[in-house]
Amino acid sequence: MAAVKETIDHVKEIDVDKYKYGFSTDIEMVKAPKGLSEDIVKFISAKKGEPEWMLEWRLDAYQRWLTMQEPEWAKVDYTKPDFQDLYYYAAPKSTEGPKSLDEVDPELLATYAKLGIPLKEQEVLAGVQGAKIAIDAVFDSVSVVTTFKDELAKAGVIFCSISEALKEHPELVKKYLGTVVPKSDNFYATLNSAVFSDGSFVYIPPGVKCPMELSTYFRINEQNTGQFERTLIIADKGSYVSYLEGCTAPMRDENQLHAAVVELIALEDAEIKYSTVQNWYPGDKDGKGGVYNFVTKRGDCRGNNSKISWTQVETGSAVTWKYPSCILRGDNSQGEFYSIAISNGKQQVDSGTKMIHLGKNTSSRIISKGISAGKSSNTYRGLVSAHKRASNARNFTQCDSLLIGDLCSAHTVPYIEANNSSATFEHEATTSKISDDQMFYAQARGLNEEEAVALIVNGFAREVIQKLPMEFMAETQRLIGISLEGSVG
Amino acid sequence: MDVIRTEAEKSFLSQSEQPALTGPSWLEDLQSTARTEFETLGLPNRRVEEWKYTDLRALVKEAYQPAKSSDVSKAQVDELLGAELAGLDSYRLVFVDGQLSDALSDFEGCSGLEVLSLKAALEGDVSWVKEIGSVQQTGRDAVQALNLLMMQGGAAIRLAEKTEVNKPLQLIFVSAVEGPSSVASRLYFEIGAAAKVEIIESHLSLNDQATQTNVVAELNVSDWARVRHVKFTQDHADSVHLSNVIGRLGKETDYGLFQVTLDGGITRNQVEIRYDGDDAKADISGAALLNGKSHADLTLVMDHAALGCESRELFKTVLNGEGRAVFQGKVIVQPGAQKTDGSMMSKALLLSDDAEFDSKPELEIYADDVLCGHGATTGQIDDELLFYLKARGISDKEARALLIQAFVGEALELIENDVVRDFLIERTVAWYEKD
Repeated sequence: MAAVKETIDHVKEIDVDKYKYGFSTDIEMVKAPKGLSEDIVKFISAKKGEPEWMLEWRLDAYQRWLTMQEPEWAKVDYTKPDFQDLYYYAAPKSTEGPKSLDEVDPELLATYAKLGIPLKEQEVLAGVQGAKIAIDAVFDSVSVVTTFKDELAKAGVIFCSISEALKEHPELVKKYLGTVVPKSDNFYATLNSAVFSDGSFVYIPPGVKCPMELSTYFRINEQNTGQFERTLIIADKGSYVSYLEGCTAPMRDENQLHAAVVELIALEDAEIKYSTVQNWYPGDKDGKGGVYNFVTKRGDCRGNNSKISWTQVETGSAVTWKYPSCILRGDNSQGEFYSIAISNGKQQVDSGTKMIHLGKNTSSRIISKGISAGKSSNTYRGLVSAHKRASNARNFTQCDSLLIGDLCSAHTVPYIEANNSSATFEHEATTSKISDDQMFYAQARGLNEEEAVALIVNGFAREVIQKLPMEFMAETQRLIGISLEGSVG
Repeated sequence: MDVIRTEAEKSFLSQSEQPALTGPSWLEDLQSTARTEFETLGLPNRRVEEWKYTDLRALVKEAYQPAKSSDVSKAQVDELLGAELAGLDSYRLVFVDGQLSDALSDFEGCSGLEVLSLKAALEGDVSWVKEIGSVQQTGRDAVQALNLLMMQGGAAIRLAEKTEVNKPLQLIFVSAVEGPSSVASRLYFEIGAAAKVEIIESHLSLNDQATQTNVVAELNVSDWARVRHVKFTQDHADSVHLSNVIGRLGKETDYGLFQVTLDGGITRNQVEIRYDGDDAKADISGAALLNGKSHADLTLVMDHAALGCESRELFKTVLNGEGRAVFQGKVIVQPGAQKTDGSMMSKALLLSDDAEFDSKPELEIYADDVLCGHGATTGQIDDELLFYLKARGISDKEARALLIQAFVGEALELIENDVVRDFLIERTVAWYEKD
């Protein structure tokens, strides 16, 4: 039991104060006044020069939001944000069209350097090796730098900020925006619909395999700025795109609210792969100051034979409330959800997925690995449902939880609803701890306690790590290391 | 307070103005709390998470009048039970519309076994009876609260320490009403330390009338006791059967509950087990076979609050027609309840496209040194197995029946009493041979 004792001791010593990416940059912001009102919604829309219909859409969402209640069903406990005490619009000063990276505020570039996002290096590296990653870097709300646009344009791919898309491709935005996550979908999605500041827009034309992995780095900066990104990805018939999203945030004392909406639309034979590595500030050892992550992510397999795959690595945020879902509307469409959620300190995670089978012969797969340490709470909440007409729907779900220390908790709340006889659903869940045998075996072979735990945890989550794109795999292994650093023996 | 009440809620409230059973002041206190509880909660509806799939407010349109006592003969009871159960050498407690019938019951000859009708127990204010209502937790379940207000009959049963009841204890609930009626009854079991008993509880209907049944069984199981409990329900298609089995398990106890539901109208079998003593074991399993528009809900909470306890659950559901089944199973491991070993499995076989199965197996774990898991599957008859049997000259119908039998059999095998097991196997075979 010595090993267990030591593990517990280590857990007690959690040092989340050493948050590696905690810093903030001082760049003067152009802010809207604090608080939320119809005028603020108008201000945001005007500031971005949006068409009239967009403003109306936002105002309608705002009116609906006023009638809604903040949801309380999730297994999380937090101080509710004061929506009148937030800034809903903040843009970095130097947004007036930098022609190249040289024109970007050096302080901003320094921020990226600290974050470990070597924008220039990647540019160079990509030029050399031919493997290119375009980065639509979001600094707070407005896209500052978009690289590789030309090359993507050659393939016909549109990858830009959503405000730009509203100017250049309003017909596409109008056609698809809000069709997967309706503007009054839930409390936070509705808020987002009213005040979303910016985000990414991707359109892959028919038959095109996007020539590179698309990537957006989100970064929350500027105190008290809620971030309300809106991402819209459309894969037209027979196309393919892989999209990477990764986040880190600076250390702040006040809670930062993040209520993003991501909408994916896969038409006939199209495939979208969406990967996320989330490492926002989890708060200090008392759970103070961490990010609230209330995200609505949903994909719509609208066409036959389409496929949407979500992969997520969740290590940060004080409170996470996130259920990337798939609506399997097209016949033979497929949905996938691979997740690793690590919680430590006083983090609270309530995450999972929804697989809604509507079309014939649809299949879905859910692999969720929850690792709970410290005093954290980690909940998997998921829904698998088959409509009456979804004949031969198929689902396999596996939810495993690993508990490290006796003060943390792990919960599993799956909902399984079968409405026709040909649906075949399988669900299994396990909860366990790292066994002393495993630890003994690894340590007997010369690993120290920390390495042994890291090895076992990596093995536990292997099925998901393997699903990550190459670019994220290294980062993830590093993140798992950082997340468990000093906190588990 | 402005509360919109349904007609059914209004009549439940007016019926409960005058509780059928009154007694000592502690009961009055319980009933007054229950009344506030029901007034606040109303009938459970889909907004209440535990009742998400069984919306009683929508399903129960009217509250039937409480049943008046009727006359039933022993021959009628025997016929209802069928040859196997009628012939089973057992102690009998027969409840006619909830009332313990002295004439039909026979539980003499076992020292250490004490049976009182609920009315007698409350009127006499027997000291051990004061525990009634204490096993259930107040404040969150409107159906349990309603039972305290409406209970007309039932029994309080006590086993003295180390009593080993030599024959099964059959609890036979006969509904003999001539028109739609409601029956609310309560059973209270005080199982002494190291006592052993086998309980066979059946709910049967004589005149094929719709009934609203609300039955709560509280079991206070003391250390080292061993209880085997089988509950069988076969109701009218317009009936509502609301059942609660609430158990508190002491140290090193061993409790087994097996529930079988055949068709019926709306059935809710709720089980709440609280592990209070270390190293206790419980096996809560069952089978449901539903056809027509039957709706059966099994909701289970296994609350591990002690060290080294074990829970096992296996549920099999077969659905045909527009049958709808719900399985909600929750395993809670409280902080410090280390070495808990919990495993839960729910399997459903859907024979019709109009059937629906909703399941929600939950784990809520606050301790690290535990081994908990659950599985849930939904599917249809395996074509390959069917082909295998048919290739050997077995007809399609027969092959299907065999496969269903094998599917349900895995659970029924858990019943220890041979006679009861054979009886239930026979009833389930009759169920799927019916069409």
